Amino acid sequence: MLEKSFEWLRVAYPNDPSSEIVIFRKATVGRLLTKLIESADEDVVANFAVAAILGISGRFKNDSSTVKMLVDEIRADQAAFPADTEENAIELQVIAALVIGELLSQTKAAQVELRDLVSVMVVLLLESRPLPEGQHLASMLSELQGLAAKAIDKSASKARRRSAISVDAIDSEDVPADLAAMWEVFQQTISEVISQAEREAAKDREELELLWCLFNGFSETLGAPFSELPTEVAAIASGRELAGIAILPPSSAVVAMVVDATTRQRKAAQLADSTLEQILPKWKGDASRCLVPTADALDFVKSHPALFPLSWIALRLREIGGTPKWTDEFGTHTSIDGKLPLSKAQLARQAFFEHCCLRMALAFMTEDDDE
Amino acid sequence: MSGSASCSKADCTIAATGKCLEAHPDPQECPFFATTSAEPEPAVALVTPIEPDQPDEPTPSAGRVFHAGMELGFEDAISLSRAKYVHLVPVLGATDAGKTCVLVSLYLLAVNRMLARFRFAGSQTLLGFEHRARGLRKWPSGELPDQFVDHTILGEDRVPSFVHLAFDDLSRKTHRREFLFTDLPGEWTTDLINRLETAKRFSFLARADAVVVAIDGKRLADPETRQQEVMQAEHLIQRLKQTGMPVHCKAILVISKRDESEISLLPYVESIRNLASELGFALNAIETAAISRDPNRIPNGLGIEELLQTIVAAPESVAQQSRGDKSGRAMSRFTKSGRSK
Repeated sequence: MLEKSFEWLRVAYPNDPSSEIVIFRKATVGRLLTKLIESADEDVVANFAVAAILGISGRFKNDSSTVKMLVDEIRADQAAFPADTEENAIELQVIAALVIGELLSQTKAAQVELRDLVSVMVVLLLESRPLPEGQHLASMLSELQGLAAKAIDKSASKARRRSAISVDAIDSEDVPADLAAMWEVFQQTISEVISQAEREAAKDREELELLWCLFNGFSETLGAPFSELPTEVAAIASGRELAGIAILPPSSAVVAMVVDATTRQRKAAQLADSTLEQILPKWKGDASRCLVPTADALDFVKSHPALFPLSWIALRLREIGGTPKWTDEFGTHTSIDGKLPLSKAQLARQAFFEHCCLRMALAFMTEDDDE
Repeated sequence: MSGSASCSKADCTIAATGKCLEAHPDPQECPFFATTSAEPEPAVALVTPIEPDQPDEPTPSAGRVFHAGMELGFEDAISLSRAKYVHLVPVLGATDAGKTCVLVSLYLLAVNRMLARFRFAGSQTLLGFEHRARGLRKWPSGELPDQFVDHTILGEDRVPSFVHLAFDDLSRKTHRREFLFTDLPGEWTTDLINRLETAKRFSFLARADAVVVAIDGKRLADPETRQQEVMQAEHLIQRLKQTGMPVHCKAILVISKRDESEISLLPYVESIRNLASELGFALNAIETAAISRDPNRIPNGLGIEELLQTIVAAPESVAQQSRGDKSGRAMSRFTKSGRSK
């Protein structure tokens, strides 16, 4: 995405940014990218994704780690750069977007896992929010959205590509001389073959479980057919349950299944767009039960309401026992207007991607713990 | 002693135009400016010894120049746009096409709370609007500046620059919108039509959110001048394309002075619209009456809010790339459904 530096920096520069600025910012983005990859921290990348998509203003304070990281790196090239977000918010957003764009363009195997997590975050952040009206900002975010979708496609396709289990290693004619050497070779070979068999079985299992889930049309969490649940609840339940079954990152087929489970056998009136203000009262605890994250993911959801708006509000409503004034708090924390009409398909996809993103982030947290 | 003036600031053309890019009324005050004498001074003059205990002469410094509130220069505009998303809207058109009237009308409608969707939320060029509304801010006679200034200061003549308006968009909760409109002499547009080499000064078009082209409705209504007006507008649209205006940028044709014609003039601009379409632009045409001569028939500010709404209208949503599933087998049929609403 560095090749887009000039175009994207135009968002912050009414006239074309000078060559010097473009060179400085490219260097800044390069260093920030290295830092992000080295840290492989789900919180840091989540903050960068939010900064890139939703912006800095009103979301990050001057002393927040994300702003400080951005400003410090910019100042390494250009000492005379304002530290106050009142003066630099848009430019910081563009830099964050360039970093995220670069991360989405990574192809090295070591960075694919991080790239996939960021891709799902970008898709999630743009799922229920309209693009901003600013022509150039919208164009930048749209390009990020396209990159993220492409990255997810690529990884989803790779994760589901079927291959024959190779037993060539077992059939090898090279017979080790002694038992100890033979065990060493055998253990390694058999371990590889079993791992491969396990991966192949997982692909079949995903397909079987998803298709059965769709065939049954039954929510295991709520113990009722999707079609008998209010559409607002069915959207959440199908999104949450199918996200629990899918191999990650999810393929577009699974996303289509989620929408299908929500909209099948519904009348047009049930599928009409509605606002979150209209939707939430219909949840009546059922949808919240699907959305409230498990204990290990609680902190992550609480730290990133913009990324998990549905899970966050479900959690918040449970904490405070519901309040008629939730919309203001929701709007402040998530940048989603409670009065914005959402389709039921959008609602289902939002619930689906929220849980996919949580599962992927949890995998990172587990890796951190292992280290 | 005869001497030549030069400036070390990039792009400054003071030597040719006599106009300081930093907008200093007296170029000698500009830190970038230097006068080189034709006859070299004797070397001794440069090394005049200073008495050791003599206090240093106070060095004249640029100091802090307070914003005059008349217009914004390029550097001022950059400061603003680094902090907030700014809708950059160049307003082009020949002299007397009604460019300034459109801006003044927008300002007056805003401050008098006559816009339905937008609430006035401030302006960094308030004084500039006030002066324009009173007809006090006119282009200087003689040769006009051929470039934007970086900063504007109090006392400066009207110069090619930006004017700023901020609105709260009432259609969306707590949504502030910032606008920078260009304030350019009509000669710039005429020059662009006649000479492509002047296109360099329009490089900012690449960043524009929308470009407003104003044409004189009175001349369009007159059969004798109509064709000339249409041709000028067509040439301008072609020039904009050559200048680098991106095709996704909204092009808005403002037909001014609607109050001076009896009938709608929209049918007369059909050929302009067709040409724009051929060039890849989606052209919106709006009839305006900035300050109506007959408010009972044509209201004051006709079309001005529509113009603002067109500028901020959401860009055509770039369709999310279809997530083509290549996992094969039975699942592939679901990819056909794509992203349903």
